Amino acid sequence: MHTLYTRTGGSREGSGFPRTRWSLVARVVQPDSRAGSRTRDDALTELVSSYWRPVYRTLRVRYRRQREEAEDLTQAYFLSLIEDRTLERFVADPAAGRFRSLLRALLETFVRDADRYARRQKRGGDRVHVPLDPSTIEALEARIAREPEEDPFDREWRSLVIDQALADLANEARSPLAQRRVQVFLAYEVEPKGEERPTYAELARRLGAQPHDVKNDLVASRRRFAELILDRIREETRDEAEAREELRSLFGRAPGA
Amino acid sequence: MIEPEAYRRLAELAWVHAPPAEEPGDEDKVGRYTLVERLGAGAAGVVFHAVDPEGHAVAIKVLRRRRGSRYLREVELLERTAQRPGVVALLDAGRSSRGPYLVLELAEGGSLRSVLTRRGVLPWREAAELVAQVAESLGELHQDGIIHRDLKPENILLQGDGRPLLSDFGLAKDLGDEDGELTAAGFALGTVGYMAPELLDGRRDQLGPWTDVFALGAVLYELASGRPPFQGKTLNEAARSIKAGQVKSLGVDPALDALVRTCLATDPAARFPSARELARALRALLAPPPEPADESE
Repeated sequence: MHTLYTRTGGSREGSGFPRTRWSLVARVVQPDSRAGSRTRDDALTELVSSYWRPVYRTLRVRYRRQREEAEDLTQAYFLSLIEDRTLERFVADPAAGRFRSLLRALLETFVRDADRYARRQKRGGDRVHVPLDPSTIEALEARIAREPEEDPFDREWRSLVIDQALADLANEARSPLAQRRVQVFLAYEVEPKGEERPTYAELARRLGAQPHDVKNDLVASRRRFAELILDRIREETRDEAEAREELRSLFGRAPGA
Repeated sequence: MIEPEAYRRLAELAWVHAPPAEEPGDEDKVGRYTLVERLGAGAAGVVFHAVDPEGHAVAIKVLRRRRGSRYLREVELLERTAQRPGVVALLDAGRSSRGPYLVLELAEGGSLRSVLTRRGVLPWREAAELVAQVAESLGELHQDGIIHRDLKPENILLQGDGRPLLSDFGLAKDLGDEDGELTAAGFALGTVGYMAPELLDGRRDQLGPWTDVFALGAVLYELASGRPPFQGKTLNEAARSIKAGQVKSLGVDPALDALVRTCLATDPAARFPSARELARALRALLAPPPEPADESE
């Protein structure tokens, strides 16, 4: 399924961060956001849609929950963030640390009391239930089966940032040159399975370009992709220093770790 | 969904190719460039004189973060026009903690605005020659379907030898790119005083090379007279003056007067249809009169 990095036309269904996490969190915690109100339910939907993948994967891998239970607990987890006013405290405290670290730490606490939360979730029949995209779950399950079990939360968070940067790369390419760069990048860096890659000459033939064009396109698109990753991280962090630390923390480890 | 191997590859790329961090004490740096002095600032961002690590002088335009889409548009347009004479060259682009930035060739002669400030007014032939050169470069862009939309003395730079360079493509529009409009219909962007009536009114479907011809006419008028053709105490007053289309005579040469009036016509159809046509008219005006026939022969 390649829809994650095709032009999205503005839709972020099922994947990706909101453009700014702060505006989303602010809508979740605003004082007049009553249960059942459209604003808060919309924000909850966006919150779940944006961040469910690391939570689900952690529940499946680290806490060994079955698929259906992991789905239910994922919903219950986000509901608990709102009902316990955790995000509100986070917004109010500049020293609260990184958003990703907070969500991960809160998940640990949540799992300890998961049964209580699950009962609350069942009672709350009026609560919004955010459907998790079945095809994304399938793909995620396939990765769970093939990848190491360490750091499921951070690993999935990193995948999410990568997916979003790829979508940004495709969305911003307007000129034929920019679109060819994206095609080269996808064909060389994203689509190959294992270590087998097309040669520059093959790609050039496929795209009606010269091999040196392909090489230049790759240089430009790799750099742009890395910039988009950092931009995404900047939107999720409080300042440049935190963004750099988050980049190092998520991407600075040996590949495959 | 992407294969796990691809995620690993992409994670490594994101780390290896990450833009270099600016260290504490690097407040005078943008990316790998050291800032020397601030050259100017506008709504879109700030322009600096800077040097690269090899000591080459460059200009750096740092855009405000919210201008990200316009930054990408400007990068794409500058990439397309990179080899054209008469257009400022894009040397590099990137993103820094200050915001997205463009590295451009440094125009040693400053802008036409600085020339106007220094000299007040130019002899009309010199002004016409400069604008003819700009119109020739602009004609090439029009041929490619690009209109600038924000021509003014500040955006026409001079090289060391005095040749003009078109710059600031932040508002430029690719007429072939229907998907690329960054300005809603009915919403005007540009600098009042040089904006054609159709641009002022936000009539997108009426924009074309003639929109830039209007602006160039206004620049020519100002160079030759020392004052802009349309003035007002407020922006609305200036806009009303443009739409009324009343321009005082330059008082230098009747043929130049007529040419400028054609550029500044309220009706787009009454103007030169392209910058190339304007350049031809200016060249004809500047051509030396034919030698009178020797009656003794």
